[in-house]
Amino acid sequence: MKDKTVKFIDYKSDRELLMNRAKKLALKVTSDHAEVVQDKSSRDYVQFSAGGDVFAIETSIVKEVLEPDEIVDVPCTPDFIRGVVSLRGHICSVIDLRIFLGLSGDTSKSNSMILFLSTGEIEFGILVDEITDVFPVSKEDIKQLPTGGASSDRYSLGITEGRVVILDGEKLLADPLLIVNEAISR
Amino acid sequence: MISGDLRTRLLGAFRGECRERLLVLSSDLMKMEMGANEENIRLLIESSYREVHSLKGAARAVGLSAVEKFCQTFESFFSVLKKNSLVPSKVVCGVMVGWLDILEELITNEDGSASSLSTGPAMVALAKMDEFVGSPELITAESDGPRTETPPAKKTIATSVKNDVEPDGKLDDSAPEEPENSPAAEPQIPTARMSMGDTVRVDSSFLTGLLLQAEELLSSRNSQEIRASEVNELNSKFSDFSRFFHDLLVENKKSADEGDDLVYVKMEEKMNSFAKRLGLLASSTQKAHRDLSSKVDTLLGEFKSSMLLPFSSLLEVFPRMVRTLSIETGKQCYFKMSGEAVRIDRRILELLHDPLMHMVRNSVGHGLETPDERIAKGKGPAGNIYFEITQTDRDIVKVIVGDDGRGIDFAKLKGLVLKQGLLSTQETDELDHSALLELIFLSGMSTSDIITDISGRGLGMAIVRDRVESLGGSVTIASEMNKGTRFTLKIPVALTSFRGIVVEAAGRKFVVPKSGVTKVLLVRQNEIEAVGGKETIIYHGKPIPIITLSDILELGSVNKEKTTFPVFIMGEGVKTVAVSMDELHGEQNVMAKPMGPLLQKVRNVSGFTMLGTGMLVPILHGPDMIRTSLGVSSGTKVQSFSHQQGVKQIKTVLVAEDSITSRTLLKNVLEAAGYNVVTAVDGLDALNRLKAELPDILVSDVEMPHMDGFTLTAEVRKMQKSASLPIILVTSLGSQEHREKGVDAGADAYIIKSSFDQGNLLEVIQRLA
Repeated sequence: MKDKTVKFIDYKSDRELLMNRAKKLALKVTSDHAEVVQDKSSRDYVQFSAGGDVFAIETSIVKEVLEPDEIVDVPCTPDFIRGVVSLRGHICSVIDLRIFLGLSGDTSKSNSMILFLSTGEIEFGILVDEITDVFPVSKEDIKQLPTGGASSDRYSLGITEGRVVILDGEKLLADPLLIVNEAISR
Repeated sequence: MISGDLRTRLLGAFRGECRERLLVLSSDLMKMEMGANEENIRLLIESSYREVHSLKGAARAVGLSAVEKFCQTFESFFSVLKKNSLVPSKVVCGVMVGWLDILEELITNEDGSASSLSTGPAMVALAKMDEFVGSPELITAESDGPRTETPPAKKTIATSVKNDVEPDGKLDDSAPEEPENSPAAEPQIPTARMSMGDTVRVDSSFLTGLLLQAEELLSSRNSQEIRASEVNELNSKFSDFSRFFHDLLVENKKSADEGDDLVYVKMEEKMNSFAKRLGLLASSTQKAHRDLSSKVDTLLGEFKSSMLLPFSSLLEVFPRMVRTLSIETGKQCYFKMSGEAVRIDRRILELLHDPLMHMVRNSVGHGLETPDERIAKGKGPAGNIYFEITQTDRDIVKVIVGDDGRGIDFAKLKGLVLKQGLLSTQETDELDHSALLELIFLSGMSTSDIITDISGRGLGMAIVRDRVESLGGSVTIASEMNKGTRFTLKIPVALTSFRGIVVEAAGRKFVVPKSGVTKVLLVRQNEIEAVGGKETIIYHGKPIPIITLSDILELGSVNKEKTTFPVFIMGEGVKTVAVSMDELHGEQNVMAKPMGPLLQKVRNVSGFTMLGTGMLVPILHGPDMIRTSLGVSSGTKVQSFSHQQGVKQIKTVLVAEDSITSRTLLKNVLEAAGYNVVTAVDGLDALNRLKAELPDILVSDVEMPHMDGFTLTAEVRKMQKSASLPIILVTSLGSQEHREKGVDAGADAYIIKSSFDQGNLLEVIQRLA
């Protein structure tokens, strides 16, 4: 076995390939680092797609990403509550952002990942199709959206050049509209 | 000196210590007041002396010099008692309880300066102690002399409070740790308390966290069990197969040639060794499972019992509270407890504190009559309030709180229901006795004529029910005019783990707490009859509504062609309903997990649990399900309170107050709360303004020039158009006499300035206006 592996790497072309890869990776890291140092006002954002639209949210409030086995439905809750999952024994609600923001579009598409957001007291997950990128954006690069009055605008900080909607994660987390607190009227 | 973080931590520890020491002191003093033989008194004094001494030291450590000074004088008082082996008279005992109140207040204020000792009561108390120390003979004197020196609230009525057990032996037999029930055992108390040195003070939230983690082991155990049985099944299937293979081999051997034979033999060998290993794995998995399960069970069992505390730890404060309340209200009251040795999860105990406190306040405040009234009704002058605690089931504790007072006035309750517009006259007439009583659990229900700081705002019972139900318990009420009122609470012993029934509806699984299910039946399709648009079945000779679980949970109906289905009978009396479901999956121990920060309260759902399969399933809320069923099946829901608040108009408040400062303050507070405010400088002015234009509510001071609040109230009541105007008197006159004068004049609420805070007033106004 061992011989085989050594032989495999010994092929000249592969070696070259690996070298190139290593160089590329090494370069990427240094250039990224340089960028951050250069522009202190920029922050990292996680870019994800959900039902056809592309959003980004600040990495500092993203706690983790999970591919859930199953999201458990909770009866008698608003539509935007997709259900709950168990996060290492703790129950965590999962929200369908598209419904909450009142966006039309394809919600039937299988949501495959959950992005867990947290600011200490409040924490919940949002459904996303896939995580596409993590990138730094400086404040100046976020352009104000023309206010259309749609509820999705209330939670957006603006839009990037790449037409990615930057969500205001802290506002979202602090929103009392997300909290379900109802008893049966007597 | 000490500052910042260290001080905060010290204060935290100090508060905990004070709580314990004050409790001990309080119970010691109460016992002294009840009287006991000299030996016991000596021990009680010794114990109190030590507690006060330790408190003094603790206060010095955190720099609360006022508390330290007070304790020091208190201590020297006890040392005189100790040295001269004096038995304090009942009167002096009463005075001592008063001192304890002052001490408690000093401690809660956490005022570092010695200036807080210059308040009236504290100064009098200190002087009194010095006087006693100077001339010890006063301590034993049964004369009336010292009475006049007691704090004003305590001076007039001699009330005795007893917490001895009822003679009929309702006390749990396993109660040797409650020695205070029998005077003979009392000398043991100090020794029992000394063993505190072996205990460790741990933050309760830390302990709860540990328990939750330990409970996570349950789901590991359950999945281990499933793995084990899977392995077992695999093993037996494989041995079936290898037997079959063996038979096949024997058949084939006869006809097969040499080469094939060898292959077969090799295969059989392999299979045998495989079967052997599988068998070993199966048995070792079984063993591991049994091992784990017994360890987890022991661990959890012991953990849980460490979380159990006797009721007495909660009820210790009650005798004193009843004593104080009854003195304040001018009533006489015996307080009896039984079964306080019954043990229950300490978290439940904590959550029960407020509801029980509330019910006792109600009993003293509204339930019991004044001595005169009682004598007029042919009862003894002193009322009785009792707590009976019994463990009726392995998992359920029954708490009965009752009094022998005036009971609930049904006519008044009916009137109130009509006034609030909750039900129509016809509906009210149709309600029977018990259904009517249920109404007191609605918020805003109070049959008291007068709102005081003790009780009467009518929010209480709604909160009590909410709390008890959230614990998975139930509360029922029984009352008879002039005989008394009795509340029965049924509460689970443990908080986190309970028996649940796993059910299925619309293809999904749910857990229903077993405590909410009265009976499980199998109902045939043809037993269901439609009566007036409702589907009903006959249960115990009466028709009750039947509804599907998927309708309750708004899951949408899934039409299954079934002829029979399992049905839960839930609720009691007129609130009995039948809930049908698609499938029953048996009963198991479940532990509830909270729903997380986003889902604070969801209709019909109280939490989640992990089934043995590792599947997460919602736990349903029994009482909610009943309410939903009744709402859904009758087509109309009982009108809710939130609806009434929806049509809020701006109300006008007339404020009569002679002090410009107080007047401006009240005006600002009320305007900030959204009221239109008209002010008057005295009673006469108020009367004129009232005649000009009728406000929605009148808030008046009592002491005013020209016309005082009582006269104003009486005048307002005399006038036809303002006869039912809500009137709130705000005053510093806190005595029972004045309160009664307020009621006689016709005031709706009487708020004492010392207990006066904005929230209190606004709450009362909101309720009355």
